[in-house]
Amino acid sequence: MSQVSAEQEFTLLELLDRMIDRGVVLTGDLTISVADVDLVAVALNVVIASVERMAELEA
Amino acid sequence: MTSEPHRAACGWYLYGIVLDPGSEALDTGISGADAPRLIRRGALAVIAAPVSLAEFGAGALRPRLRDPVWLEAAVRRHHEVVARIHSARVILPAKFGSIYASVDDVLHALERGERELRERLTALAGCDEWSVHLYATPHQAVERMAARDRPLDRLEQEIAIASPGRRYFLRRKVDEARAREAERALTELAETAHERLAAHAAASEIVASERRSTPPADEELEIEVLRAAYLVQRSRSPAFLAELEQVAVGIRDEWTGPWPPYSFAALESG
Repeated sequence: MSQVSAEQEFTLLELLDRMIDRGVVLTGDLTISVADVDLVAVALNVVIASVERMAELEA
Repeated sequence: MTSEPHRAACGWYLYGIVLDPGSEALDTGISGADAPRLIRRGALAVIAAPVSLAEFGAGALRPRLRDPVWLEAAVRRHHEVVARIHSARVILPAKFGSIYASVDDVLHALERGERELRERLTALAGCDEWSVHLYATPHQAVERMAARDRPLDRLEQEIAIASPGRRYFLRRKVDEARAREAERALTELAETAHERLAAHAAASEIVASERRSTPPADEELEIEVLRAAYLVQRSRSPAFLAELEQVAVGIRDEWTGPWPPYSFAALESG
């Protein structure tokens, strides 16, 4: 059984995995922004960037 | 502290909602002018921090979300504040990046949803979230099946001695049956694992899985069979983790936790 990381040391991807599109939303009349939809694309970019970086390091 | 920041171009970044902690101090781990603060209304309170709209305004946020350095700092800050409060009391984490024009606006929304928010907070009391991914190959799943398709093994023996024409016909029949068996096995593995883990949890949520109607043709190809979140009472965490260790014997798992209850904070109504 493999634990991905210790309690305090989550990676950005693990954090995004937990936080994207989760959590309570209070809908106010003057809500400026809830960053949700964009984050899915952002997470993908982070994955792609880290894969590319790994490929560069191995090259 | 319910006063608005003096600078005009400020908004409020919402970290989460708690039950009014009364006179107890609330440690968010951040100090200074933009430190998160506790703002009470009725039996509830929000944890929110003033933020510059030059950074967090609707127009400014979009490009910044694409900047991995900015994003990582913002995500880590959000998590650190939420996790610090979660370690001491029950919190409903707000969705990352929720920004309001005024504190009064947040408090009105809090008032409107008070009953439902209190129910959610009660349901989450004393619980952590655990994230679990399980991976298996069709071969591993079939090995685990309670009732394997023994007649298929006999058919295989028959193929070995069959004429070429009949061999082709039998081969196709066996392959199709094997694919159906693998599909059943992967489903059974995921469902059994989820049931066993959920038995230790107050709530659970299957997020996604690669399990599909057609399993991979290569029976040694590993796929993600289960991706789920479990809300577990802290006193039951050891039993939950022991069950996970059992469930994962012979296959691969990845898990993280304990987390604040990110996956269980959303309200039914919205």
